[in-house]
Amino acid sequence: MARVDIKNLVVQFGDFTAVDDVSMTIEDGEMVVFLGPSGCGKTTTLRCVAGLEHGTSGSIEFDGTSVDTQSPSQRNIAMVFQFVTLYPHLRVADNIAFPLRARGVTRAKIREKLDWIAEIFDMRDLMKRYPPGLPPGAKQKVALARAVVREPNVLLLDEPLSAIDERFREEMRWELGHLQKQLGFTTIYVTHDQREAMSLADRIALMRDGKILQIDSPPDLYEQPVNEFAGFFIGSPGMNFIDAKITDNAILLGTAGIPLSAPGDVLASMREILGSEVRLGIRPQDVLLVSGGDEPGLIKAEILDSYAVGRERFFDFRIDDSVLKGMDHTGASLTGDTRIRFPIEKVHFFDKTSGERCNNRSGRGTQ
Amino acid sequence: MLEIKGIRKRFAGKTALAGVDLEVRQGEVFVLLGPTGAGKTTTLRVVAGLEKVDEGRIVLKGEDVTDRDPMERDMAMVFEGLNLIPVLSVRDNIAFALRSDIYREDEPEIDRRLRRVSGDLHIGHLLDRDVETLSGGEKQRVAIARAMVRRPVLFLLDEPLSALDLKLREELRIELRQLHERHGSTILYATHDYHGAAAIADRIGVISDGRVYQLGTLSELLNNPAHRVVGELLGSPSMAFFRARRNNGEVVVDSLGLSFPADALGVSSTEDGPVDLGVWPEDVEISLSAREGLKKGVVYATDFRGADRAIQVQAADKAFRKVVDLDFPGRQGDDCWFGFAMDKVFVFDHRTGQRLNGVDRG
Repeated sequence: MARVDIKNLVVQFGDFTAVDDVSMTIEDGEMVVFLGPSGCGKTTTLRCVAGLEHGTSGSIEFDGTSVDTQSPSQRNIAMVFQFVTLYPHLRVADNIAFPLRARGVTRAKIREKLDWIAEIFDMRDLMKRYPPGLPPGAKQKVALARAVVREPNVLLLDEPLSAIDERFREEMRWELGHLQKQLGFTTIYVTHDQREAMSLADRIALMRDGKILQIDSPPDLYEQPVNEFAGFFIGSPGMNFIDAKITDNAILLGTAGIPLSAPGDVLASMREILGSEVRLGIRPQDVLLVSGGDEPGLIKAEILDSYAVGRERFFDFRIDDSVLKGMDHTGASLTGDTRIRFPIEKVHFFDKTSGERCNNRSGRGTQ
Repeated sequence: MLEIKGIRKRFAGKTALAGVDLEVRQGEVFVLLGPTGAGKTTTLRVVAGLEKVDEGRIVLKGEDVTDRDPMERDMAMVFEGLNLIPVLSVRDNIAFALRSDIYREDEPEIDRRLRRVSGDLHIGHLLDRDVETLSGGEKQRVAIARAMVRRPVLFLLDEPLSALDLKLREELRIELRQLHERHGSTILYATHDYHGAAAIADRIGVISDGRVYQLGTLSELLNNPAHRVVGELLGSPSMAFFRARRNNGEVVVDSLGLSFPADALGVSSTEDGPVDLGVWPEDVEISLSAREGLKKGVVYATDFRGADRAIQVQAADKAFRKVVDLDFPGRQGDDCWFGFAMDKVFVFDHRTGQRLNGVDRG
């Protein structure tokens, strides 16, 4: 296993900059997910680590040593792609042992390795079967076992779940999460699916247009998105946004300036953005529904639509001319005079023009 | 408005539909929810008239249309693959059917409808583009627009959003629902995605292995699942199952060392045989410390979801998943203890999957 340093990596394809000055360290044993929409540069970055692609400039180091001139096989990386290719005529055990035999590992050592794999992957009963008869999730597991059996420096996973049938995908995501922690390999995982990223990552590198926007643990990324895009991309459904203006004694929402009251100390902590036009962000999960009541700080909202997913219920509501989404699990009534509360400690502010975050999470005392 | 009665269909000796019955009501969004290979697409194609049935009847607005041509059925289908015509502009793709021999609308009318539908789907700025130059999400909107512009009596949508990435899917789902409310159209929507189904459905039909196991609103299905398949396909996470057996008036879960009086679970105490106990994860209590009445398991893996976490618990030979609070401190490998109340248990026959206790809606 190795620590991986990506240093000022730039990849250009003609006029197009696929990776635009990406730097990041993946610690030994850490699982980092490169997350972003298609075309954000995540796969190209991964391919550079693998040695399948070369940076126009910048460098990749394993444990402090440059691997820029090494071929993929010299780097001792293992890569698992979307589409699994196993040898259909070889038993599972022989498929897994293949890379070891190819390197002339002794039979005793191979047996030892296969035992270790069978144990950790919990697949003793699969070892004698042939790949064509296995369900897709099991095939993926065998492919992963074959990739890790020679204990690579780095395990690289490129959208490994996206080609798997939906009904096995969630199963396999749990399995991957479990296995990665059991194995403890340095792992880079590429996906556009924020659910996978949040579920599996020690840290997520959120990418867009060839750049890393934010590197953080899933909870930090969720709670402190650096800009509007990050707020929307992480979490499901994405964050709501509404124009707002900060004044001395209130936060005014929308063009109508609907007041959202906030304690003085909270407003004081936002002195820097006082008077400026901002975008207020709030996650649907953080919107509170209050039936009746007329206490200050409640916002009158018109409920447009609602639907339940199990015991949770999503609702769309209108404030001013914005339609926002909320999520309720209290079972509060959605008919009649409905009021909404935005808990001030759950509210995010972003610069209206740049989209960049302009508050630390208020109420948390972080500066 | 649409009734499907006893549809059977075989392809090359393989049964695709093994007697599908369902009813879609005027103005509702009916979701056919099932895994890949369950028969969703075949059902839609049969309804559209693109496949002939081996057996059964299709009745649309009181008329038997089983033997009618697709074009005589006045339905519009949006497929997963979209099948837009690549050489035509967005405008011409949408207008294509209206200009055909069946509709023969005049150009001013076509233009009026085009403007309306492109406004509804936010594609007005794309009308003159080549469809090949559109993104996946844009193509999807165009395909839906092309179906809508004909104003069919029934929309058939086959996994219409599954090719899109997650964020786009959420957005379009909301738009689809809003469109539906504005136009009052009747929609039959096939998907394997529980969240998508829950978000858009008035009623859900649970399909698996070519059979519809239960029809109802989401809460009807959750409160009263008629079959084990319903527990497997609904919920987030889905139902927790424990193997058990009926023996001498008791229901015994050997792996957990648990037994319940059969009467108390609402199942016959005179019959013996294997059963599955199902409990919705929300009704499973979980704790990191041992307590009277709780059984021991291990946290197998954890899943951060933003506002909460889910954990997978491995208990004897069974695993189940449950949503826990963010501050639940359990980590992978930790011991944990769990239990559930008897009145939250659904009992299913292990062989047939049929529900055995409580109100039977079979």
